[in-house]
Amino acid sequence: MTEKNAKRRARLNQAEAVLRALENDEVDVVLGKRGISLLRVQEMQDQLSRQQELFQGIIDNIPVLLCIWDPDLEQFQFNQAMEDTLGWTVEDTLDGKFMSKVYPDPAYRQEVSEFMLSFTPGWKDLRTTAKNGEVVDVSWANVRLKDGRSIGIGIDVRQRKQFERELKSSRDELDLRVKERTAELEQTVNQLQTEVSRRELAEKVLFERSERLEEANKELKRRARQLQKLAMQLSTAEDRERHRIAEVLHDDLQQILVGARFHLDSLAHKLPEGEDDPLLQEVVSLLGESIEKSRTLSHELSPPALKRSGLVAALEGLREQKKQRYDLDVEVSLDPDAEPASEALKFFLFKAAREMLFNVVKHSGVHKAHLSLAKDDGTLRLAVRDEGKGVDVQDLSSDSGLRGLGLFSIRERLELMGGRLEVESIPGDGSRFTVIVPDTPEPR
Amino acid sequence: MTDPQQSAVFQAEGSQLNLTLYVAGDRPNSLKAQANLRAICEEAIPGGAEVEVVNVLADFARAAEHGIVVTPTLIVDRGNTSTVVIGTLSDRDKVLAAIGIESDQ
Repeated sequence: MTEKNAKRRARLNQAEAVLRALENDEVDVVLGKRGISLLRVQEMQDQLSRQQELFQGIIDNIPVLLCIWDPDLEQFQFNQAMEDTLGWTVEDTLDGKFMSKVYPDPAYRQEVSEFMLSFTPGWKDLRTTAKNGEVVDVSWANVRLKDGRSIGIGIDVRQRKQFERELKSSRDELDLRVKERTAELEQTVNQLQTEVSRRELAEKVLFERSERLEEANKELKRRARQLQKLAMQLSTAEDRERHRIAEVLHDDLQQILVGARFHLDSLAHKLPEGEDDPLLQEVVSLLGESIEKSRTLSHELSPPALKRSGLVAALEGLREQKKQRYDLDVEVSLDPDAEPASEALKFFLFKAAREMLFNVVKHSGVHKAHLSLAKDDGTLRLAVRDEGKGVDVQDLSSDSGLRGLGLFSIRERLELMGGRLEVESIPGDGSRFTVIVPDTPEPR
Repeated sequence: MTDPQQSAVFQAEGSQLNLTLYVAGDRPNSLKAQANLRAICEEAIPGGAEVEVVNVLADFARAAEHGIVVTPTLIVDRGNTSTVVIGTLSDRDKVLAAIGIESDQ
């Protein structure tokens, strides 16, 4: 063997030794011209094994659905969570028709297939059919592997979907309630608008009626004024007529009667002594009575003091008359300024005072009364008060009750003149009659 | 031999035998080789031997100079001859043969 061959042989042996050492995994590093290459095959295998173990542990225990598929969507691998959730096993995929089992609807399957091969980023909720037929809501995301396969990562979102459905249901129910409530509100608004319209109409009608009422009221007042004027005119006419009759009685009838009695007296004196004619005496007496009656009637129809000195003076005279005729003590409280503006009103009040005092005489059972006349703000108040038996005011509320006291015509006339009669009485404690009347001037 | 950058001496000076073990730090095979070589020297070489441990990770130039291609590699220098043993030195007979000592067994 040459030296050259010996060296070659030695290198060959060394090379074989290196190969054996490599085969026996007894080499740590390989040294080359460029440097050192670490040989950690076993370590890497161990590490790989550990990583595989870790990875498998994760895959088997992670509560996430993992599915690996090929580009033809025919070969599939699942993790435990996938099998537990959907029930499918790898055996179910061996016929190559797994997609049609999981997504039976062709159109939906096409949509899902496009998604699985598109690697669109993000999550997509899919209705995935489980082996037992239940449709499970799973949210999927895809990850592409270098070898062309893909990993699908799925999350069971049934609970979330259920929440979403319940939320949607609640929202729908809320919407429905809102719509119902809105409808109710609209109905209420419509009702209110109708009610408002109705009330506006009623208000308008009421306003029109009010206007008509006001018109009627004005008309009524106008007619009341007319009536009052007519009443005053009537009183004035009565007054004139009464005065004329009183004048006739005083100037004509009384003169005639006085003349007739004078002639009969002359005739009686011509009869012989002791031959008095009783009939003649009777006629003379009747004539005297007629003259007195005529004078009284004349005074009553037109009291001379009233005409001559006014109401206040006439009432003073009335007081004396009542004392003389009926023994009635009348206290008077007469305002000199309370003289009525019209003759008719003077006579009316005089007549009322006379009537009321006569009632005291007839019904009170006492011999004392109080008479007052006052004027306040254009209104005359004539009052007669006593402390006698009193009257039942309830009885006086009827016309017949007033007639019994001779006050009916007074009240009627008062009302026509715009006045009123007030009666206050307490049985056993006295009465007060008050005539209240506007001091209206003589109508022209 | 905890520090592979330092040479270790298994036998007294004056020996004609020089052993150089090329290792890669504390990689497993390198540690095994050192342990095996130490046991062989202590048990089988009466005069002992000087062993130099060279860490190629720290001194690549030394390894390249001597044409080392893998670790662990043992260079047995007996003055006029030089023998190379590759691996973990677990084959005791092979190492002894390289050193020039007949196996007891």
